[in-house]
Amino acid sequence: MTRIFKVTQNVLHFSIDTKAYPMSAILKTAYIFIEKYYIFLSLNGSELLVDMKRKDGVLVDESDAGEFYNELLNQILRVHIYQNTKNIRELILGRALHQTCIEIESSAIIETPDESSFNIDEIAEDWFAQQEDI
Amino acid sequence: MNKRIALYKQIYPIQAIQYSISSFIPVCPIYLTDINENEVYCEFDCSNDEYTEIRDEFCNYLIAVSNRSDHYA
Repeated sequence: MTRIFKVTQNVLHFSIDTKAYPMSAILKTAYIFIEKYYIFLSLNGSELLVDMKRKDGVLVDESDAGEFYNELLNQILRVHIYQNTKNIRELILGRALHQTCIEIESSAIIETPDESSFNIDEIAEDWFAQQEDI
Repeated sequence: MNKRIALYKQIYPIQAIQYSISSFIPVCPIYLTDINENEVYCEFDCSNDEYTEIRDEFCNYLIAVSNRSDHYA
């Protein structure tokens, strides 16, 4: 496959196949380049079209697209690492949050009395009836 | 001069487009003229001289806003 780079009115045009590169990586790459370039992204089927223009007015050429592709590879690697380490990151975060839970001391817990420790007849007896006996 | 651009929903989230437009209102009114299945059309209400610069800045800003919702480091 031959890559087509075209420069018109100091704007570099090239395309990226979205089947080969994830959209999130392309967008992240574009974000890195907006400091020095004006970037416009559009679509043509599965092809993402990139228009790049330098902010300082310097002429653009194919090497600018090459820089973009290199950074794109870097971002794809980051996406893969992000996806591959998703489970372990969730595990570490879950464990860290669990350790921050407040622990209640065993002495602070109010123990409920055992039913066998009291006699229901002593409690339910009428007070006046007790006094009459005295 | 046609001062209208098409933004693709597969690239830019609609929330990012709306946020960017609201941020650019003090600079230049931008209208959502048409929304279809894949595209959102934005029309810039500014002079021809200003249009290119505002459009370029707007597109860069849109890329920055779109990246906010992406959380991989």
